[in-house]
Amino acid sequence: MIFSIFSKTNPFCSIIVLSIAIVIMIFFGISKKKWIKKFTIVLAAASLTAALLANIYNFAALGNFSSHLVSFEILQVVEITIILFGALNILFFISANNIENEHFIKILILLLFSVYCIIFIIISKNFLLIFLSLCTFLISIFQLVTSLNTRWSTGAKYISRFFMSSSLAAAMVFFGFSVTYGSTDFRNFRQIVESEVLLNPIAIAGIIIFGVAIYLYLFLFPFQGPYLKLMRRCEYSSLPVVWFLYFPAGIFLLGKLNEVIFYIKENCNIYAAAIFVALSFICIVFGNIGAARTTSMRRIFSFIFLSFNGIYLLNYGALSAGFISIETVQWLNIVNLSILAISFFPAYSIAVNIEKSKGSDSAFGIRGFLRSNTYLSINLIIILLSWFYYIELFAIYFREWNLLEMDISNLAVLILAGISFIFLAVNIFRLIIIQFLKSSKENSRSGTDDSTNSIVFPKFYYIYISFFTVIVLIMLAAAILRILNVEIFVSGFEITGGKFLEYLMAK
Amino acid sequence: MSLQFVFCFSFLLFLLGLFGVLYRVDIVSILISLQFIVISSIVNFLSFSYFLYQDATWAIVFIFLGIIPLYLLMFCMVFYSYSSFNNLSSNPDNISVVNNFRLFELSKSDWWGEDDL
Repeated sequence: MIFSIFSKTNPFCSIIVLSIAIVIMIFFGISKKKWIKKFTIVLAAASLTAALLANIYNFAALGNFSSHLVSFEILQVVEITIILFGALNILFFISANNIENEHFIKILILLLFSVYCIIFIIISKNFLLIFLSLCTFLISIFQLVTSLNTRWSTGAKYISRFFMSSSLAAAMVFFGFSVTYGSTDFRNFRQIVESEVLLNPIAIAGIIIFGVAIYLYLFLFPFQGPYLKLMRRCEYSSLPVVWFLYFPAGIFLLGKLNEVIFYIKENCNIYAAAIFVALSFICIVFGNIGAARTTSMRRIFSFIFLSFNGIYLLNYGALSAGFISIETVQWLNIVNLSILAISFFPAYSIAVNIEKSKGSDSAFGIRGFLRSNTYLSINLIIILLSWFYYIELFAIYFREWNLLEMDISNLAVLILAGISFIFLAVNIFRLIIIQFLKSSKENSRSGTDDSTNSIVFPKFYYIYISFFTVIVLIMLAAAILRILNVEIFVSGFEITGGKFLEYLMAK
Repeated sequence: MSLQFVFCFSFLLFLLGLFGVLYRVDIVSILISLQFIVISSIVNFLSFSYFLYQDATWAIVFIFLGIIPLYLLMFCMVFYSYSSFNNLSSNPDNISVVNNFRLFELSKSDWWGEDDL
């Protein structure tokens, strides 16, 4: 019976599960009782977990699905899984920081509805569905962020600026689709690539406008102002919402252009590579410089997140330069997003606790953290070191290419990757070294205690952060085994160093 | 009237809207500039549909289904902005915000953010 339900609802199983939870929660929407709030947290967590399992089971049982509106393949399954995992963590942040909020249950409904919309963005193929899901997603995420910030008056102007920029991006997507549809009469990117109408300059103009709209949507340099200002002023759980619901939607929209970029690479790779390398250089280098020159933890994380967004562009630059295949780009994008989720949630949860205790988000708030809370400090160091996964990108380049045979575009990608790696390393070691510093006696004397002695972390945080550390350590072990050429097979699949995902992508 | 003329006209509207969004400093002008971009898209859909595809219904469906959520999004923002800025006018951060609302600036504060609030 369950199988027949799955087969009839393929590929919308996860959406249906979330819809059921939303309908049930609507009946409790105006309640202010604490036990009902706890019940809705459990319901939301259960629905997200069930949606995650249904999504995987659905694909395993029924395989790919494609129609003129949606496409459901392994890439979409992995993307939905990451989003649902991220949503579970966001639920944790919202519950920890907003349970006293009178609109708490409505906020949870908006969270589930945002996840619902982003799943539509992931599976949509047709221009109309892409645009509709983007607009409804923006409406729901706007309502979610504003609901979270009802008690934070300083953020109002910056929320408006942030989402006004997103509206501009949505309007540009609308214009881009109008030009692309008008010049080709096709309704999705795959049709355009297959028919080879990309030689038509108006079609290319439409696709470029779509690309620029996504660039604007992601607040990449030099459009980062509204994002940075909002991140500094908003409520604690709004940051994970922006990082792991708002930005992934932009990354997935960029992913819709994968085949188009691959087609362009075949015809004029030098120009495409030059543009992607230049843009990613600006994003990664300025993102890391911005993080290095600030003392605010929120801004450090926000800048580093922007620089990681630049890595997506670097992957496309590497694709255009002929370094890597389209499957490898998809795999690297997924790995990038996964690592961000695994590292940012626990690191930010520590930063939030310190900010709440001290009333300031200064990076010097973690001074002396290694002495005051050795266990969590070591966990944080391991999690920060996980950002060095970036070495993998180098490994891919060097494995397949000889330095002496490289042309200018390939060398540019390598040099950029090297420079950005140095800046990223500076930021990682800065955050680690601050934890080793002693808390200043001068500050203690003047009454502003800079030490972390007084901060008490709830027990659940220890479990939460340890969980992510264990994941990082397992990934580290797999990477080391891969470097040592030790292969581990489970049911015929090589699981070391992400080969499992790479295999699925190739399939 | 030819397709080329209509396309150039719609592209001009788009550029005008883009210029308005990036250059103007008051929230009302920015919203009007966004309308220019939406209208230029509608002109594109209708003109291509009329000249090339014999009044294809798909373009009309896209226009209707597309502008409803887009205008809903803009309405949400207008409602939020005005309700917030009027209620919070006592906060120095929000004084005359409606008339000082440039989306993107190349100032030091916009490029790097601020450390001191």
